[in-house]
Amino acid sequence: MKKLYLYPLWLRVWHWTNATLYILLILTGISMHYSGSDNPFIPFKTARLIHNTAGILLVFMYLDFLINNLFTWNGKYYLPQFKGLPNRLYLQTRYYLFGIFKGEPHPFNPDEKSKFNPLQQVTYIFVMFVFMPVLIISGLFLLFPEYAPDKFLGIGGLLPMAILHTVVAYFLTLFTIAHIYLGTTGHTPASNFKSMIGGYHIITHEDHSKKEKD
Amino acid sequence: MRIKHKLLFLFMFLLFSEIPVIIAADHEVSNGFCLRCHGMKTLSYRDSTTNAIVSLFVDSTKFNHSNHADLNCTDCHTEEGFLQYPHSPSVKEENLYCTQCHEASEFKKFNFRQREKEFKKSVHHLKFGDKFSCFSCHDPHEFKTTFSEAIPKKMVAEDNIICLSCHDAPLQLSKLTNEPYHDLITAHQWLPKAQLHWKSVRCIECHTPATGDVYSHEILPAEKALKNCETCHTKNSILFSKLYRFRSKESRQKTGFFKTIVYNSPYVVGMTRDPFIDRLSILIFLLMLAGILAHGIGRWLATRRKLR
Repeated sequence: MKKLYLYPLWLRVWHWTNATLYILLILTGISMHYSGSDNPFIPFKTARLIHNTAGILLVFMYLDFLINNLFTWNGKYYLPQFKGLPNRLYLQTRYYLFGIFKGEPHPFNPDEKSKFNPLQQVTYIFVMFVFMPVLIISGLFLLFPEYAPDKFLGIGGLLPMAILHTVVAYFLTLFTIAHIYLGTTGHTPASNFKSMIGGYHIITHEDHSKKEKD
Repeated sequence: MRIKHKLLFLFMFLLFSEIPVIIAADHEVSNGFCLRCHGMKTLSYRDSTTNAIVSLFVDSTKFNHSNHADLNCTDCHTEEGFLQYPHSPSVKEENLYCTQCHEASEFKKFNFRQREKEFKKSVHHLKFGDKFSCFSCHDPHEFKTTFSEAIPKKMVAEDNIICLSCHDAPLQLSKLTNEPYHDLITAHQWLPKAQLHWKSVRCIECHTPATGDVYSHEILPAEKALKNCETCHTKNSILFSKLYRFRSKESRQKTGFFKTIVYNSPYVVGMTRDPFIDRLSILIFLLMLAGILAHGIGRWLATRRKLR
């Protein structure tokens, strides 16, 4: 059994802080969207305070992510590898839909060169470099509405910012749930979670056999 | 010579005597006639009891744009004393009420008797009694109903200026009370983005009872004002029955997300949402959870089969 140090300390701290903030933001965000005196999930006042605080912290976490990936070797994992991407995406999807039930080995295993499987590569690019900036910018406009543009695509005021924020947040919520579930598809259901805590990815016998075949 | 003297004496007497000049004998006095003096910005006198300077100026431009523009000055100011100059001291006793005119059926929709009852319960009346009247807030020479314009932002600005002309002006307020002045920012510290709220809703949204009539004049004391965010920030926001009731008919009839965009309605967290999109998003969410559950059960069954 070989151990591979894939997740440095800064990344693990970033990941779990981000996860905590995400959960707080999702719960308080839903509560504010469906707010009402009849059924206060979280009182509006409390929800607003938590959402604003967690939101501001998330902005700093995003900066932390950008800076660390710019100045450490971890950044290279986010660079897309376009060569043969459709086929790799097909293999990964096929594995999740069929192979996983037949006990087939993972089509792509993390190593020093490439940490993410093809689906992760594509999803993370969208999540971190498209959705997150939109979420943060629209969120900041909602936090400081006095700076929001008077008109945006012909619609006035905060409405477009609120729409963008809600829609992007909704998709990121779906992403978070999928991310947590797919986290259980490691060697054992808990192994990926353990890796993200300890920092080491455990290379199993199965991985080796596949490498030898290659 | 003697007659000449007598005439001169009579002339001097008339010139310097205080015999009032009759302004109007049989004909109606035009507004222009009154405004020859009352149109002067500086026309004022010092009240002998309060020592305060009382302005007698009427802004003719504002008057001509007001709801009362069609009226003659003498329609309301009926005191005989107004018909001569200098006006007789009796005019000071003039006591006008809105309800004197506004009882008529054409004003029924505004129910002025009800407004009066509400006003009697308001903090202004309870605290200041007769020192506070309709005219303390509504200048009849300038009053113009704003809800006819149906543009919330404009309505808010024009409505709030009435409150702010005293509550944001310590000097003005000190004429009425010796109580210490509380500045509005401190008083509204609990309210997030207070100044933005003031631009978007009227003071009376929170400072009249939530269940009150849409035109309620029962101004609540600060400690009784609405403080629960969810009163407005919810699907059944009271703003629909208060401020947004006055939106243009088209935008009121069209509710929902896309129509909100089309009619450029304001965004209120918790209020602006579309039932269809809400249901669709919950459906997609549940389908995803079902998918995950099915996938998880499938994996669990597959592992069990493998172990056997």
